[in-house]
Amino acid sequence: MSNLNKLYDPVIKAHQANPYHFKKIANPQFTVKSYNSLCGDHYDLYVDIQDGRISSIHFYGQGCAISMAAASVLAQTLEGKKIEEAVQLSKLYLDLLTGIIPGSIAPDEFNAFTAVISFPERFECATLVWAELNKFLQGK
Amino acid sequence: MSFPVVDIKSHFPIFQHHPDLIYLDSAATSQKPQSVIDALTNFYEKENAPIHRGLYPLAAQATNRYEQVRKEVAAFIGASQPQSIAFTKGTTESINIVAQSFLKNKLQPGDNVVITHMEHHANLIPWQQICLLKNAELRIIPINEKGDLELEQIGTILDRKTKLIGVVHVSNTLGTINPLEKIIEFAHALQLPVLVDAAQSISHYPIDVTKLNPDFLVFSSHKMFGPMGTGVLYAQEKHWNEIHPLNYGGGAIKNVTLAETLHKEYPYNLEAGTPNVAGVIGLGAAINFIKKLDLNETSVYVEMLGSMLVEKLQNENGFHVLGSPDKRTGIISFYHKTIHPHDIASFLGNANIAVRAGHHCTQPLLNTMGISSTARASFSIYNTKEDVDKLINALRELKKFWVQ
Repeated sequence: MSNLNKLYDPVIKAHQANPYHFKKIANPQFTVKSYNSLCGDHYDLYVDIQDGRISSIHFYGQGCAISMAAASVLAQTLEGKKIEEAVQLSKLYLDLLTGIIPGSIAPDEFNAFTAVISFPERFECATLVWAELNKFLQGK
Repeated sequence: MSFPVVDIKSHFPIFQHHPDLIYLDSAATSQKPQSVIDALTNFYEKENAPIHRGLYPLAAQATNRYEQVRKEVAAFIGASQPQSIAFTKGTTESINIVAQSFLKNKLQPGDNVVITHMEHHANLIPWQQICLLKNAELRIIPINEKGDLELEQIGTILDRKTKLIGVVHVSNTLGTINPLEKIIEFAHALQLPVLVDAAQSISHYPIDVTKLNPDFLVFSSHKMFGPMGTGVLYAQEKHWNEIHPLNYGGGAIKNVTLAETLHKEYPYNLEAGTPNVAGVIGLGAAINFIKKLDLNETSVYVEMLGSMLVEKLQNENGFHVLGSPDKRTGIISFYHKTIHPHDIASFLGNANIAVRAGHHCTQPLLNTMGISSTARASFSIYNTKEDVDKLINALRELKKFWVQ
């Protein structure tokens, strides 16, 4: 069971049970869609940007505990950040989970997801929304 | 019931290498008995040679063995002519051949192709794509909330513009066993060809094409204890000269000049290039393995394991079984009200229980039922009642893990 306890870090379980800003938004400024064609998980990120700063992120969709927690941590972490900061943070998150950089320089909430490195079949669950948002922000 | 599972399990070396493995993913691919693995090794060790062109003894023997399997496959499904059997890469390719090489050229704008709402993507996308190309319509026989086809609607769905019906024998998601006889009888009354996808049924259910009378029957070797990458297309004789090559190349020709080519006839026109000879010989070994079982017994056995799981899941708080069809094989999709199927499958995987989680390549079906994915347990002859108990126990542990 220890493997599973690593995969489902308390941070992940807490975010899954009570995801941050998990609700449909009627008229968002931007909607960033992510869809995992392998399993059917799908999320919409509702992003508002003002003066080069992400003023709010909400999200809604369906997926496993890891994808839900990943989206929740994303919303909580990136809200209020400048676009450049958000790009950097999402790159940091993705690099951390691909094992390119060590955990020591990443926030604790990011480190909670590093167990997917040894569960490659769950890698997409943890990275999909982050990768889509990173792509979106790079185009801004 | 008395079924010699212990003895059967000993034929599958995977369980010697993974003694604690509870394999409940046979609907995705079955495990392979030693005799099939030996047939592959034996061919490559002792018999490897090209077929249909070598004039030396080894090549003649390989050709004989390959063609012998064609006869064995035909006999296995009750077809009187071996040349009704074409070897393909699998169910998906077999269906694509019928869509691309048989139906596409006949399809006119305004025509329609009819399939059911429970087809997996392999029996949906090939039809959908040729319909889009030809401005034809893809019509769907709906299912009810139990997961049975609404056959009373078939009369309003089929019409003079219908060109083919594609129907799955056993649903890979719901486990529903469809009443093929009824559908084929109805279609033939309107002189419509019917393609039956037997991918999920061929390993556990007796199929006799002479009695059942489908125009086309397709299945994969790897879901019936045989090797991957090999499959079968059965076609009735009246369609042979309407099935054109899908792939062009050597081995499927009578005469070639730089300007034109005279192709061989069905089924040889579909087998261009060097085919998967070892795979076909492995399929032959798989059929010999199945022939030692009684398919009337195996079908009852997997159904029994399925209903046992359904019954137990119904007593587990929070779990739901998808559908309740009138006749169901040992393929059970289930979900939990709050725990996502992926989290179920990861947990079970950690407990050495292999189940599938996802949309099972039946997205439209799951969308209709209002969910995006399920966990699925599918049974085969090497599973036992103890496997069901262990699954249920693991699901109870899963609930403890998630419900603080």
